[in-house]
Amino acid sequence: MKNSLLFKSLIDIFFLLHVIGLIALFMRIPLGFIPVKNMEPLHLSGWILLIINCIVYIIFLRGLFFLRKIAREFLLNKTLTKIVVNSMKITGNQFTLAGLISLIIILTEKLFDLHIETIPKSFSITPFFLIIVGLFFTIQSQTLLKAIKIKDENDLMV
Amino acid sequence: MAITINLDMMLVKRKMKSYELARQIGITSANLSILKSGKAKAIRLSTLDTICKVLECQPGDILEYIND
Repeated sequence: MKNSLLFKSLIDIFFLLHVIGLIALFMRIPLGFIPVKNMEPLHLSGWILLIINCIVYIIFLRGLFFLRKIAREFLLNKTLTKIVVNSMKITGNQFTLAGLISLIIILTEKLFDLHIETIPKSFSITPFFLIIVGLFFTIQSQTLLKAIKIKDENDLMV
Repeated sequence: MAITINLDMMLVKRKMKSYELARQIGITSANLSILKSGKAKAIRLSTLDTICKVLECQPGDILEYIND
């Protein structure tokens, strides 16, 4: 109970901070509400990478949102439910996708020697780690699905 | 499933109520209902043994294989 409560609290804080970060990012660069000092004007490739990075950020946040759903279910002690399985699958897919795209962006930056200092560098998590975590969640969802099937069969054994 | 359970027929033959059988074999009425309705995925040999003992019949009298 304590662990699930701690897990839920941490995920909530993490999600909230990232949402604030995303709003701040939008207000700072495209909308220009907050002036950026000492920033070179972005050229076309820089803008494209910035937009892709924002999309990756949103994908990551979607994964985090579904992770919150899982945490909520865990808090209610509902571990073997379809909601947990589906949310875990979506979280895994979103994290893997975000990791893959960030990896491609990093490789592109290195390849074309682009320096975009304004982009949050893959939200302080290495893309490889994000892919590993994403794949873990996907595998875990499949395992839970098997567990639910076994539980259902066991419930129907007289 | 190709296996059907003819428990209802045996209960009629033995003039026994469902709840009486459930009580005698030590399972809940809900579980007996699952068994009778054919929703059950599996049946323990111990349960089958007790049913046969109470109803004084053979497993073949309760279970029937119908080819689809």
